[in-house]
Formats: sequence, C-alpha cells, structure tokens
Amino acid sequence: MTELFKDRALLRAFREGEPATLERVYFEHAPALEVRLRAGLARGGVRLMPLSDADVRDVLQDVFIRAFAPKARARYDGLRPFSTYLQTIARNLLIDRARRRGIEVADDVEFLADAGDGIEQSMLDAELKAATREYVEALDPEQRQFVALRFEQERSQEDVARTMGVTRRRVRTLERTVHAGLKAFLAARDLQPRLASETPSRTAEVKPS
Amino acid sequence: MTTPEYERDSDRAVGRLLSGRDGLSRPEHEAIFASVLGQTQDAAESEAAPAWWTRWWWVGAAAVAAVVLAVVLMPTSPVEPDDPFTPRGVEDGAQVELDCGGACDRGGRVQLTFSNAASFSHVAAFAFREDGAVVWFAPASADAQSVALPDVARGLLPFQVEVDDTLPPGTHAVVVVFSTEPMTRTQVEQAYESRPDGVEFVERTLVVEAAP
Repeated sequence: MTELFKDRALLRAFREGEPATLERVYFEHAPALEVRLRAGLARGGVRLMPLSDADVRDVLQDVFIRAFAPKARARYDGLRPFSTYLQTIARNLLIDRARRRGIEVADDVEFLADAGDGIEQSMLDAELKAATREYVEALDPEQRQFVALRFEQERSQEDVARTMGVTRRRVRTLERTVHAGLKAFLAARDLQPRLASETPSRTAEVKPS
Repeated sequence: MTTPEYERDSDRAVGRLLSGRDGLSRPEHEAIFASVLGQTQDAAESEAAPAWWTRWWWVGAAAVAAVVLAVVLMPTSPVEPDDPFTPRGVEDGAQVELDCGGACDRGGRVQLTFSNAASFSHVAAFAFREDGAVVWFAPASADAQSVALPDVARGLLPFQVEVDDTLPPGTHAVVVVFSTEPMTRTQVEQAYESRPDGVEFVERTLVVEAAP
C-alpha cells in the first residue's frame, strides 16, 4: 500500500501531480475504495443508499478527481493514511448526492466495515463463469498467459508486454482478440454477459435522520 | 483512456468475467484513471490559462508565436515541459521529421517521416496555420478516423501534406497525433485538451516560403 504519509518523496511527487505517481496511488487505493462503495454507507448497522454499478463507477471517478485536483493534492496533509482521506471524500460525496435527491442523511453515517452485502450482488452466475473457464482453457498458451496477467493479476498493458516479451501493440491485439472471442463464445451458447442489476438485491430503506 | 471495448455494460461484463470477479476489471479502472487524470490536468491548466481549443484563432496565434519564440530563443531558452507547443519526443517518444524535398512553397509536398512509435497504432495530423486557422491532414474528413500506422520502426506517414492555398507562406505548427486507438477529429480535439494516456502529440514547425 502506498504510504504517502510516510514516504515524503512520494508525497512530494503526488503534490506535484506527477502522472506516474498519481497512477500508482490510484491503482493501490481504487480497488479497496470500490469495495467500500459497493458495501455502501450504514448508520447503526442499517445499510443506507446501496449504489448501482454505474453509480459506483461515477463516484469512484469523482472521488479521485477531487482527491487529485491540484488544490486537494496541496491540501493533503500527509499525516492521515490516504485511504482514510479517500473514504472521507467518498462519504461526503455520497451524502451530498443523497441530499441533492431530497434524502436526509445523518452526518454520522459510515462505510460498512463488512462488504459482504455488496459481494452478494454477483453479476456472474455459475453458467457464465463455467463458460468463461471453458473458453479460457481452450485458448492457446500465449492467450492464456495474457488473460492471467492482464485480467486475473490486473496488470497494465506495458507490464504485460514486458513480462510476455512482446510489444504493447501485440498486447492490445491479444486483448481485443480474447475479448471478442469470449463474447462470441458466450453468444454461441445464448449467454448474455451482464453486470449486476441496477436495482440492488438488498436495499435498506433510507430513513430521515 | 476509455477503449471502445469497455464502453458498453456487456463489454464491461466480459472484462469482469475474464478477471474472475465481480468488481471493476483492470481496463475499466484504467479508463476511470485516464478520465481522472485528464480532468485533473484540465483543472490545473484552467487555473493557469483559459480554455483554448475552442478558440481557434488564439490557439493558432499562440502556437505560431510559441514556435517562433522557440526558434529565436532556442540557444538559451529553457524548455518548459508542460508547454503544449514544446516539441515533444526530442529525446524519447515518437519522432517526426518534415521534409519538403527542397524549398517548401506552393505546389510542393511535405513528407512526414516517423520513428520510435511502436507503442502506437494510429496517427492523425493537423496544422495550426499562422493566421490561426486549423488545417486537417488526417483523418480525411470529420466522419473518418485516424489512419493506421505502418508497422515499421521508421517510415513515412501514410499521408502527405500538400502545400496549396490552405498553407500560405508563413510559419505553421504541424501537430502529429499518435494514438493507441483510431480517433475522429473530435476525439483528437478532446485529447489535445485532456492529454490522456495512449495519445502522444508531436509538434513541428513548417515554414512555407513564397513561391519565386
């Protein structure tokens, strides 16, 4: 985990907006924040305002736009863990969004510690997963290595290219080929890849504070 | 940068299936980060200067002025890395050379030679004319996309610049846009503002002389 509050050189590069540092900070914090967003806010153990998949993407983007804005970077004190800083921004954003929609939200809401509810909203049913496994197992060794590196290990195209000893253009071609191949594979089996329902399966009623 | 493969929910779902989990896939995160970085850079630039892409006249004038100043002050002037008109790729990144095959005057043709662009697949090009007008070389039309880059280490770009009435005598800034995905003119304009990952801009000066 990036420790901006411990590594002063990193903090300085962050404050200066150095793109590689911003990228490093994003990818080390965004997945965890995504989990928090999918879990949602809660008050007194009651879950509030579950987000749709599109909302999660929007809020995640908004949080980092705010956190990476020049003034915000300059303001970040480097004393608090950056994850806490991001969660504070996210929490305030969610409260503002709810209030703009006319929903009263208490100031003491916090992110759920356990993201289990969010995981329940699985988009991947067993049939899709099984078909995907079948597709990947039938790929040639280069394509299988690509899937493992790029998707399972979540590595950048540059990193994948370096590891595989191929050009980035080759990696892009592999990505398009594998992606289109799985779509066709699923379509041939009348399977439609889909995200989680826009209406979350478990929705707590939001009560006025 | 958002790649076309991940703009639709069904495509996002395919990425997540390949990832084997329900959350955002790496390509989706990359698209979000690219947007964040673009908007963050926009914010920084807007604090320092007004938006200029939509103000073509000022863009052109600033471009040409910057080029002229760079030429005049080159021996002693420090290079500002974030200046959008600083010739990029001098030491690394994509390279572009302009060659008129002699004098650059009306009726001539300018060949554009590229190198060190292996990480890109497509190329677009336009010029900020001295009077501020924009002249497009590629894509060929507003509906077309940037052209595929030849898969060679060094070679000619797949289009030429005709020195005709659209490029009158004067000092013009030619902008070559390398990208990892095909782009329309509108997308190039947007990228010129946001400077996303996967797109590189190389600016070169083209001095068109009056025909003898």
